Amino acid sequence: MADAYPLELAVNGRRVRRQVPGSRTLLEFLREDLRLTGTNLACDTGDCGACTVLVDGQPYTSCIMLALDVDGREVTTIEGLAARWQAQSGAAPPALHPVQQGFLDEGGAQCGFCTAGMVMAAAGLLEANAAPTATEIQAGLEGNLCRCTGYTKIVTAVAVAAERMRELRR
Amino acid sequence: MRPRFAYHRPASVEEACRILAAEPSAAILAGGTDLMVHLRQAWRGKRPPAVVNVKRLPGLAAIEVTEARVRLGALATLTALIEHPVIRSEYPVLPFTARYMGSPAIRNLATVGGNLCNASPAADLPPVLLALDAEVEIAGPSGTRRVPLARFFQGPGQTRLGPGELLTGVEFPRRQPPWPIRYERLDVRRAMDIAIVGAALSIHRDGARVREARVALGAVGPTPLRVPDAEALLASHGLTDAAITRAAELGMAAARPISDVRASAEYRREMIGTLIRRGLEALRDG
Repeated sequence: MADAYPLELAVNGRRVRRQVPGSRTLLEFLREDLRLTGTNLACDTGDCGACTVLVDGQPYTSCIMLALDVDGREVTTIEGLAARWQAQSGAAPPALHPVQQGFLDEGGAQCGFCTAGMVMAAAGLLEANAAPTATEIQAGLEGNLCRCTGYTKIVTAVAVAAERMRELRR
Repeated sequence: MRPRFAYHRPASVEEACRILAAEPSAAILAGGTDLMVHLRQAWRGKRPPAVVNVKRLPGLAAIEVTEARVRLGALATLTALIEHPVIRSEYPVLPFTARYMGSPAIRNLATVGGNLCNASPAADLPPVLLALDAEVEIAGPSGTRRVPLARFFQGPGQTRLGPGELLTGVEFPRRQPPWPIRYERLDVRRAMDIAIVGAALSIHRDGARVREARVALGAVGPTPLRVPDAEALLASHGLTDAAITRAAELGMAAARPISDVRASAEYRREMIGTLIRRGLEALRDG
């Protein structure tokens, strides 16, 4: 039984190699080892979604995952989301991901603590479903709690983002 | 913060079983959606059990469909269950049930095997898999054995898994055409919630006549349970109003619910009758 194990993955398009203890969560690894503090620690039990990141384009709650379990995979955090979109769409930097832009334009954030996770969950939803209904947006965000907004503007922001992404890809 | 725990990452089922045999108190990590929370809440400031991470063991995540059987690998995620084409077309009750569980991000992690081995009395998959006549496949020091799912659960958090044993999959017969089945669940919130009570109902018709029935309940006792006398009654009387009412009463009588933060025992008993009746009426009308 080793104390630390080799971990090799891509984080926001960059290859990362580290020795990581078995008990380290992905969230701890991102925040403390890589200093990517945009992903927030809140409930630490997978219930609130504030720590949501994309792994191979799909949303995961990083607080209840071990860092070693993403070995060989591609992790995107809020810090890398705009670049991910630029790579997908050909948009020129510093273009934000349409979900980020949608949250800005529609007032989808208040205190902001849930926002990074909310944006990542929405971005993951739109990677799987380019034209979600309002109900599908709500279902896509069902694991993300916001205590400020009442969700209406968040759902609108995601719908606006989905529409923009479809236009930009046409 | 979670306490740091001793960590094992076996490369094969055999190695996992050897480690589990040597450390009977070790916890098995699959999706982690329950264990990672438990480690934080129950083991804070204490010396936690060793963790044996089986998540990346090869082959255990597959969903395999043959002419006669459906096999869900223990590490198949709820997302995989929702997306599998044959499961979607022949067993839509499984995606329907899985969508009740957690959130998209949680379903990307949570595994079928974890939902069974965690042995929560309120788990959603067990009633459905009981109604599908599932059996579990268990690997251990002396090879592989199969246990009917109905005998797998022993109590809250307790299963038939012995020292050195690992659940590797769950299988059920692939009936052609599939028997109609429904899962009825009572809860407070639409997402990230735990069932107050749940009931899976299935019938097998031969022409207009009901030949067999399954009634399986969750969150009304220390383990998920089947109600054989209700099943026998439905098989002999069919889905008449009287038989449906009587089956619901038998389900209520079989229930051994507790009172907790979600509901009182009396409410659970009433509601399990309602869900049985509702599910059977839907099967009759559908």
